[in-house]
Amino acid sequence: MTMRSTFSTLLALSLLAAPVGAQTHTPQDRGRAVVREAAAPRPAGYQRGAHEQTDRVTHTLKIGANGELDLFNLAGPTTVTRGSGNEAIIEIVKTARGASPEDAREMLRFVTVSVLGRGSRAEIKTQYPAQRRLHVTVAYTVSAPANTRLTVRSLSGSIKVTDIHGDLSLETTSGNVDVSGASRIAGAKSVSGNVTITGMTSDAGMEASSISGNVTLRDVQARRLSLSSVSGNVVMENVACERAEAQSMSGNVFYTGTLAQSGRYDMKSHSGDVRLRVDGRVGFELDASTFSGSIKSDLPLTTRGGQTMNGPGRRAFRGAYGDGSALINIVSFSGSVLIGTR
Amino acid sequence: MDCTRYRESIHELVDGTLGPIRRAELAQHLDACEACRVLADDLRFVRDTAGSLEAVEPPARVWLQIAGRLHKEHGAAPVAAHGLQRHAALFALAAALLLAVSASLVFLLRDDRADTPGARPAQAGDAVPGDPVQAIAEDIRLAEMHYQNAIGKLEEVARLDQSSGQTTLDPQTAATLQKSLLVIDQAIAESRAALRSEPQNEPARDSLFEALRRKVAVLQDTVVLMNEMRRGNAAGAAQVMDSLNKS
Repeated sequence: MTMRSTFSTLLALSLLAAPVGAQTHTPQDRGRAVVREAAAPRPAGYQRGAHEQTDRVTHTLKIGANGELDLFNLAGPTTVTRGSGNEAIIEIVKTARGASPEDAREMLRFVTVSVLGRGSRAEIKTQYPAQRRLHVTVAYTVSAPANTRLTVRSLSGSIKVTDIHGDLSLETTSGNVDVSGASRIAGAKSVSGNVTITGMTSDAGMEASSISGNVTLRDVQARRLSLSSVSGNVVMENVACERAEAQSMSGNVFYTGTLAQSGRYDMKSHSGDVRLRVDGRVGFELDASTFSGSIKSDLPLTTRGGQTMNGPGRRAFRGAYGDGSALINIVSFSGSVLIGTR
Repeated sequence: MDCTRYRESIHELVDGTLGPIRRAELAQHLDACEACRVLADDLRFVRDTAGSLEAVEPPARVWLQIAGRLHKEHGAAPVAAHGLQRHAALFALAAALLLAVSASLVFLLRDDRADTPGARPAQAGDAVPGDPVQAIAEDIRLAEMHYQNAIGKLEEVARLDQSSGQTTLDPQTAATLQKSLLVIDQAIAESRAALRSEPQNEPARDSLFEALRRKVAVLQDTVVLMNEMRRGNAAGAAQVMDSLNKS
């Protein structure tokens, strides 16, 4: 692991729980379009109950066609879709559940949201008071211009982004991350949720990871993919890329798609299977190994000595298919390795 | 304030690779931006934590042994060179953490040296007499020791944080991380057992170091997350998670 990749991960996690207090700016020092909802916390806790109260507010910020939106949530879903024009429209719904309607209403007041707009940049932050238990979630539904650069961080809540083509950086501790129709994903990460990327065409690289969830890509074209999970599966379906690094400790790693000439594909799993299904139009050189699993290829692979490898039972294999122009490295300690056609 | 454009510079600052002009520009930004200052401090914290590890340089004889052994075993220079790179990669992998957190270049330089034109080729006389299988097992043990030292330090940091009595991770996240560490430990145990039976098995070796590397990464993430939670909006975040977990 390089220091850069280490620190990228650390950066993501450090930002995940970034100090809200340190990043909150007063209207005086940060300019215009500031909305602040505040309430003084009281030293009492609340029982969760059946009485639900909601508070809904909508903000419209003129961030421009290529603006930047930074959203920090603590609990609750965040949904961002493509809108039209130069405005970001942010609908904020706070929901409290209390033992009584009064309790629920009171809890709503303690959770605050700051919406700050400054030129082409907007920051939205959820803040909970310390030292009390509140049963409040905040749901964000955002409509933003297509090329908005978007950063969403959440402690507990799903993140769903649709048809936003600006740089996306999406991170949640507990919740799923779903992205579709994107063009540039700098990072999509979850600690305990699934990460799913669908329908992306990008000329850049992308990184997606989860600790315990699955990482799934469908219909994705990108220059470089870096995907990982500790206990979840890493699945790439109908993928085209020049370089892919995919790994899981106990999950499977599946790749279905096309290879690029001179492309490089590194796939690893400790106890899961690694399966690669390609269309066979681009040749490749394969270096596959396993300790206790098996290696099987449906494609006629040729070793340097002219032998072909077909059938199961191999524990290490180096060979080529076609012109051998792409390079595939596969390691599975106890899982099986399968090379097949789509 | 557009902090994203400074993130790369912060990495480079901590890496010690930031040039003077961008350094001055970043310094100006850090003066004005507390969030980026906190980030830089945290990255330094992680670096320093693991940087306290001793950078252990494997004895020079290890490389001579490997080169000599391979030369003897295969009797052909190209094969020996390939094997040498494998072993170099092994040590480079083992040293990845040290490289990452303490900027030690010992192993990289060594790896580079093996690939550098003009580097001293393997000589038949380089091999030190002894059992090659045992010697490889010893090499692996040395490499693993570096990882285990790092893991021990990080676990110690995590324990200190836990015992400080301050709010750290929410129970759900902590459980997820703990479970993931168990998965990795299982992988380490399986790989180690495999290596005991077949010390020269490459998949087993690769799996062991991949699992160790992954454990270090997860522990680093855990420590940073704990640190951030404690410094930042820990109380608010923790109460949110607590409420959710108990609801």
